Amino acid sequence: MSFYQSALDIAAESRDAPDSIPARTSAILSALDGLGRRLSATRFLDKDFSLAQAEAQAKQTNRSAKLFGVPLAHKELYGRVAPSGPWPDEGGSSTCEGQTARQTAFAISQLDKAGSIDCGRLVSVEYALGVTGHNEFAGTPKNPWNPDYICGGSSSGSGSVVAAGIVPGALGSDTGGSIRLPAAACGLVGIKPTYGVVSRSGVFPLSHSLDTVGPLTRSVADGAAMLQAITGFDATDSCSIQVPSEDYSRNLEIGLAGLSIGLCEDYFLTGSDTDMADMTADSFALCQTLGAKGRSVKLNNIDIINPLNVLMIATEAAQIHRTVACDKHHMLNDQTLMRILAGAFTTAEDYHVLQQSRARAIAAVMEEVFDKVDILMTPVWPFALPTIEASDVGATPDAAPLMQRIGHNTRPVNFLGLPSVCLPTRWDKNGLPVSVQLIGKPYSEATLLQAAAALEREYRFWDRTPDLDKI
Amino acid sequence: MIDKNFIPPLQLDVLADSGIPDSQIELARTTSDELRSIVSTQKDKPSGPSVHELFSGYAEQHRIALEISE
Repeated sequence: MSFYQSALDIAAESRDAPDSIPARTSAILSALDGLGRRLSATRFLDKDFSLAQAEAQAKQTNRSAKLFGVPLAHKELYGRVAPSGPWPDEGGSSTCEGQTARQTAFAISQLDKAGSIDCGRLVSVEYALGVTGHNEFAGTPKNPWNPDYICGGSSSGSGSVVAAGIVPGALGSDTGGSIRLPAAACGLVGIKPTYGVVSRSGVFPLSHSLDTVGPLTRSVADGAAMLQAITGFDATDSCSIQVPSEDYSRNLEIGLAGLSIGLCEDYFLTGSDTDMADMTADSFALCQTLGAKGRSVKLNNIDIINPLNVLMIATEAAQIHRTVACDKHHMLNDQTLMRILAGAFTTAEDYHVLQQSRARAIAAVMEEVFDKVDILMTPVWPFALPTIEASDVGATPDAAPLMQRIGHNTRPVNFLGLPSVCLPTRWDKNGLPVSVQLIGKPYSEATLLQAAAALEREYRFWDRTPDLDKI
Repeated sequence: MIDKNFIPPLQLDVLADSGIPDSQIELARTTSDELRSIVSTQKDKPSGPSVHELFSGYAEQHRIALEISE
């Protein structure tokens, strides 16, 4: 099997030689069972199902689907009811051990329709409630660039397996940065779509208001193709919105000319370590060299958005998981328990004010930023990636500030419901990936992907691959 | 308007009776107090359309912009 093939190349090969689909799928399942488990990233495989899906695709006469024959694996929060029975739906938690999916997730059904092969499920942080990737029960995935380092969370297994080149893409979920943090930690493109663009039906819930669904891939074009596949209105998700269908790949070759890009020094750069801020400023300068118009922007009250988002996640998580938190607290990771309990004291009035604050913040940022620029550029991680050992803080008093700090640049985007694409640019002092985040106005995914593709061509991050012999 | 489906906050004695260690309850309560104190600064500000209404409106604007560009 050839590692590090793009989804679009695999789809093209599959169209030319459909007989290759079962063999490729079999090789990828072996890699998920081997390397994927050595990375502590593979959670569940149903080889019979995946091979049957591959055989069925190989017999298709219509091979036009965008992801025809492309093997993918996804975060374990995505439900699948296979003909032989439902797949596990444990949310990365021993409290849900033995629980199985009640439905196939909408996004998974969409990927089936797009011709992809579902090769299994990947480790998530418990309840998707964590940003470092630690999980005592399901495993703490290792970063393929250096296995001593974290993958970030909560879509940690997705980041690990895609960066290891086993599959070209994986779905994650993002409530405060859980697609973008692992994508950035592992050198991947991560897409957090606009509020309402992708249905969360059939996905293990954390926060009804803030959960979003999106892909982690090694290239912008693959990310655009996966995003294209999973979008669509779904009446079973009350946050789903009727959005016109559009081709997210249509602008990938256009470049940056004509776009305006903003840099918000206050908060995003001042709240990040100097190295991260400087590398973001360098990327901002590069955009201007490539023809974009650069502009400094300010966001009033941005500093309260991160803590408001932390409280909203905790409050909604407590609404869902409070009974388990009381009855099975001894089975929960200390940090998960602490974060759920922090939301258990929120009153209905507090919650109402939170929702109103969110709506006001969204309207304000549209006026303050997106009336002036098309894209806002920020760092993703505010500091160099920590090791697995150094960031294993459990529920000590140090944990809450660390969690807030890690999500400094990502959580505001969830609170504001905006789309965001992160992509790798270079390397930190320890040789781990560094990324920038491109944030846009609602439903501007195509514009963000256009800019990301232009930067991708300059940085050529994936000309280098991890040394997997170390794993 | 208060959300009728919202489950009221847990009482400290319920948490204590569940066997959760006091230290964890205290840490969670402290974190909650800090975060809710920020919420309280937002209480008297004017209310407007809901998040869903806002995004439905942005989706309509986006549809119009796409039609014009085509």
